[in-house]
Amino acid sequence: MKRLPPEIVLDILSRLPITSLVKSKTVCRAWRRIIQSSLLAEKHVSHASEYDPGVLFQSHWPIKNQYFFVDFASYIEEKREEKRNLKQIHVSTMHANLVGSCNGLLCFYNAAQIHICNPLTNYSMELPKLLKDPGEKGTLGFGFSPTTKEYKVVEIVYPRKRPRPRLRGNPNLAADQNSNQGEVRVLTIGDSSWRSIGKVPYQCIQQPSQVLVNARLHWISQLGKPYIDDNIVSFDLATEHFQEVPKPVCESLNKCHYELLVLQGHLAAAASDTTGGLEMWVMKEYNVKESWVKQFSIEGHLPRILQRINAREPFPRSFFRVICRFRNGKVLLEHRSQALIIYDPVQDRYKDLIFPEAPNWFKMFVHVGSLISI
Amino acid sequence: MLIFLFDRGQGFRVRKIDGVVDFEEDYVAELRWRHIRGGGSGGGGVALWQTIKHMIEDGCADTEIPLPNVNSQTLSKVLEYCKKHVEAAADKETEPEDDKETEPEDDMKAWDTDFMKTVADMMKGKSPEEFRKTFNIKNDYTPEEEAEVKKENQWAFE
Repeated sequence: MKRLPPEIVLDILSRLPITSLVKSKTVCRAWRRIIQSSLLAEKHVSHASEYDPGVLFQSHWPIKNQYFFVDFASYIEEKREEKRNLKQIHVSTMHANLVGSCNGLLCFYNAAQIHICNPLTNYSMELPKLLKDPGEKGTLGFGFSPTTKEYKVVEIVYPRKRPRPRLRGNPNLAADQNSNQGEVRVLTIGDSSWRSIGKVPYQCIQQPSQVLVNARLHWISQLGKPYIDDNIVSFDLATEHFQEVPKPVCESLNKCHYELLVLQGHLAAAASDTTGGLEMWVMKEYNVKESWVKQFSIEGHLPRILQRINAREPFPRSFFRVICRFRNGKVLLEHRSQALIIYDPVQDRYKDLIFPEAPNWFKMFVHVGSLISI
Repeated sequence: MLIFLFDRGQGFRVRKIDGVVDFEEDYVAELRWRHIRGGGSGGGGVALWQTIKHMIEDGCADTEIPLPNVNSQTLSKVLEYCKKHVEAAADKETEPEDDKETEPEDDMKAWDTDFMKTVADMMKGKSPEEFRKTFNIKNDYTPEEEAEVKKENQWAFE
């Protein structure tokens, strides 16, 4: 086996889950050289969809800027000890806010400062500062375009809303309409400055976790009547064009709050219902309206770990967020930033997922572990 | 110089010997390759091919090399290759030519992908020590260096 050519060893290693891959660095010098090559990092990321994703916990309480990583591709449910397999990692965040995760890279911003890092390799890079004025609010996105092989950050900026004009024909009305126009700026990573690419008539709402499908970033655009007039808007990272994406044909989505997410590589919409459960819609074929299907729905279920604590709360059920769906069909749910549940939609069963070292309060997002640096 | 391929129920193995065939217990029994079923590909597989090529070229006479559980078509290709190579080695003036490989590219690729996936699946969740054992690799790190590499990637070892 040791006589296998390096390119074949590289190919084999590129198919390993991130934890096994990093461990393999200690096998011998030749393997470490292969594992540190950028070719391997790129190949490895290209196999990411063949595995269950990883997840990052971000916690600011009781200690600020704590990050933990779980590699679900190496996670074996049956193994007891794996339950504690929560890995604390160092993230150079500088008390920053997360823009998003893509190919193992995280993008953070703090006021005008913005940087990307790979938390598993300690790689970090400062980017040219955001151009946003303090009086503007913005929505940010970060992603990779495989066709152009470029990483980009996009910023959509709006002037802060003034109080709505009360009278019709008020001269301020024009200004108000103008405030719905977002100015779009793009930074290609590697370039020295941001580019303005014009305005778009969308009011893009930042989603809890950024929604990157088909090399396009997605937002819900809220203009006009809430919910009914909401649109799904995409930004193509290669062509830098905006486009509206068809919404699911679903009554409940016209009445209630929903958020966008990525489920097994598909664009998905999670619609909350009044009982605290949610309906999960998935667009099986990208940009095809008819391919939206309701995949499952979740009833309000209170994790056992919280039942005692929350017993006196008026609405003990409710507030789920779907994090991801595993290859075995089970779904990872987060409950009120405090507990995790594995839900099996086929058998309609819930199981608490306990990491004893997990912080009490956390934000959670999908993070595909990689060795990529730019 | 002779090359034998033989089947001991766990797949074919190749061995270059000088007269004696040794049926000792297999030190690479851990490598249990998935059977590449039919598919009419007859894919010889670059990986397998090259393993043998390297073995012959490096004159590594005393090492046994495990082979994937190959189908008979593949095996005949391998034998053909070995035969050619051995003949070529005997007549040192003529170098073996790689373009004699007549496999369609796609078949080769499919075979290789399957081969690599199998190996990767087998490696999941194993320790570096187990990797070395499985792949018969010598640890060429000093203990200090190894500790350093571990330290750099502490999260993976926790």
